Amino acid sequence: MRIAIASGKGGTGKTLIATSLAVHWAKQGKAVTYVDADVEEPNGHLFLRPTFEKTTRHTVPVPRLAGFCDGCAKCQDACAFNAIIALKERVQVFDELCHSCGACVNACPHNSLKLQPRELGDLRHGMAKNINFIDGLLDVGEARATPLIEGVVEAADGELVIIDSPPGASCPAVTAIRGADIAVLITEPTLFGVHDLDLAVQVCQKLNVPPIIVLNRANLGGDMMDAIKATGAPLVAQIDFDPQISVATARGELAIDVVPGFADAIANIADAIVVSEVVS
Amino acid sequence: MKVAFAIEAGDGLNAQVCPNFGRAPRFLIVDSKDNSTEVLENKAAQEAHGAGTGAAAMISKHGVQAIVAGRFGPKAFDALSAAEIAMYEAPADQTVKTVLVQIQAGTLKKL
Amino acid sequence: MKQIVMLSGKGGTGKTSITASLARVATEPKVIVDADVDAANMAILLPGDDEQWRPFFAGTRAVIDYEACINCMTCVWECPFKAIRESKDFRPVVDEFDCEGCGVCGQVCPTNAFSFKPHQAGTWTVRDTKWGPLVHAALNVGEDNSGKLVAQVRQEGRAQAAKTGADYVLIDGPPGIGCPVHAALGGTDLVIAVTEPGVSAQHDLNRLLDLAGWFKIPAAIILNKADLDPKAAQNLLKTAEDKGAKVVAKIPFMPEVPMALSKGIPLIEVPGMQEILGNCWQEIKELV
Ligand code: SF4
Ligand code: SF4
Repeated sequence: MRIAIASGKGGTGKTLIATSLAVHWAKQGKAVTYVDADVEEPNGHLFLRPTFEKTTRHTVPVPRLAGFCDGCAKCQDACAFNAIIALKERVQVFDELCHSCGACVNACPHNSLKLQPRELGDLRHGMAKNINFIDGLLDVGEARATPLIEGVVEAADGELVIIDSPPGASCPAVTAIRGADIAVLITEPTLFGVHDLDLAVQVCQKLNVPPIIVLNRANLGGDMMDAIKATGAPLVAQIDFDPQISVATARGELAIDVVPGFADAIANIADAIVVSEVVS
Repeated sequence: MKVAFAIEAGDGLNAQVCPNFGRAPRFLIVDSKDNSTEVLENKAAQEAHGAGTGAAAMISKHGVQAIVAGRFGPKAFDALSAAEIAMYEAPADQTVKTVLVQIQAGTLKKL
Repeated sequence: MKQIVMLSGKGGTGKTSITASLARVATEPKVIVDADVDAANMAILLPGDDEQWRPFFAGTRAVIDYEACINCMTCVWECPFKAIRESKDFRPVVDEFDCEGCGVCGQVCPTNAFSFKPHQAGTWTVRDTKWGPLVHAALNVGEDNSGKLVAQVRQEGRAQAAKTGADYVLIDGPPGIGCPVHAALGGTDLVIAVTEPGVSAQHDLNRLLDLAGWFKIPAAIILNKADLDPKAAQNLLKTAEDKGAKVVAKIPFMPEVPMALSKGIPLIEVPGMQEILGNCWQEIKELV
């Protein structure tokens, strides 16, 4: 089963819950893979503290001139993203704009363009106790996160895969949630939280991934029950704010190990995920 | 020499320079030999991304030696430099005519 | 009319809340533009009535002419985004959500069955608020903010300012430092970077100030949660000084702030904020 842990908005406690679920299932002796797909700001490793065994550079293909060019500009005309322009006897590629589609390569009458790998960031594999750990680390200043997210998500296989997804409802989140069997949307009872939750539910619907909702810090903020209900996704669990959880998290400790009662809350969510998966 | 001007509207030497290169609605190409003009609609202005490089690509196809706009974005700058087209920044409310005179007199500096 | 754009690089620095608060403290006639459509929350913070929503188009999507299609499935294999799939009745079908409009299918189709239609990526409108007109947009899920959308809302912002005789256009800028940010910066009179102590914020600030320098636009800084990490804050101030950006406000971390925001209470109703942001606005006015 592939479980995407997502949220419309940052800072809702997504990583806390994703890492806790990994620990919970690992303790039960299950083979768990935790994937941190928030490649712009991965922080799952701060809590699970894996030993990295393998780091590879992840690349994305971009066109490069590898042959004769007479500046005919067929490649330029073929590119829908204005990412390649023809000069007198060469081309210039704007890597940041390129979607790696290969239309320019197909269009070159001299067959002179080749797609070549361009590095985006690190793809890291490791073990955190008995949890299989994978994350991606986007190079500083790199604008294209999506191909690396695709890379980390594809690198994960196994019985139970937990995908800690980037926040939001645009491309990065879509890429991480796509292909999951279920999406657990973490939200908080605030105006922003519920507004963004609604967008996250829409993403899941578009991708045909059934969403379930976990309300974090349920005892803070206002009563958002009606608004949550209006999104159409079921609310399966609530976690109350407990300062001990924040303190543990700030120290980089796993709240599930040190905060009394938190393990039960996580066990509830784990059960709800399994039940929802069976139902859908 | 053929000079392209990013313009907001119009089609003659009295058109005003557009503040933006990439998302300028159209370009006016002036041939300084006889002051003849040609209008080029900027299709790239309608693109989601890469308006600057798209516009640069279009301009470079038309064999111009220089381009005038209120300002150029970083990617458009790279593209136009690679295409060896001289760039001039001019205040947006000036007319094509005034700027052309300045270029010919050498009083407007190249970027 | 002066255009002021608020930027932050990565999210989470409090940019939107601060922009909305400045809109509330500034008494001069103004227009507010929400170009941060990845987290278009300005409308939540500034209530009012919206005009009719208008469509926003960006890019294209592939359309198959089934009269011409011979069901060879070449496109299904060749689409780099796996956006064309074989249906139960053995036809190729384009998934509009996954299609990026790249045109490869059109290149490989032996019968020229493809055409490309403009794609509606979202909607936008103008809201009448107590603090001036607010131009804001809603992107469809899965779409990213684009330079075109930023250009469009900014253009409407200027038109509204001309119509209402506003002195200021306050733009809540998009995140990151890419294409949409370039579109948000060009032609403005002041860039305000809202930043907070931290490594990635430091990095983003550098890039933003360089970009402002490129466009020859004066820059200023609002340092949020200034007291959380005095050393990192010192580094930020150094960067600001080196690059000639004035610090127009230092906002201390106050536990009341997240509390207020979570209840939907405007930032300026938090004790002390009215004064900080009032002064901040005065400083901004002097800069433009
Ligand atoms: S691979 Fe596609 S997006 Fe990239 S330059 Fe070629 S045509 Fe453009
Ligand atoms: S335009 Fe590109 S992404 Fe869309 S269906 Fe055709 S090949 Fe696929």
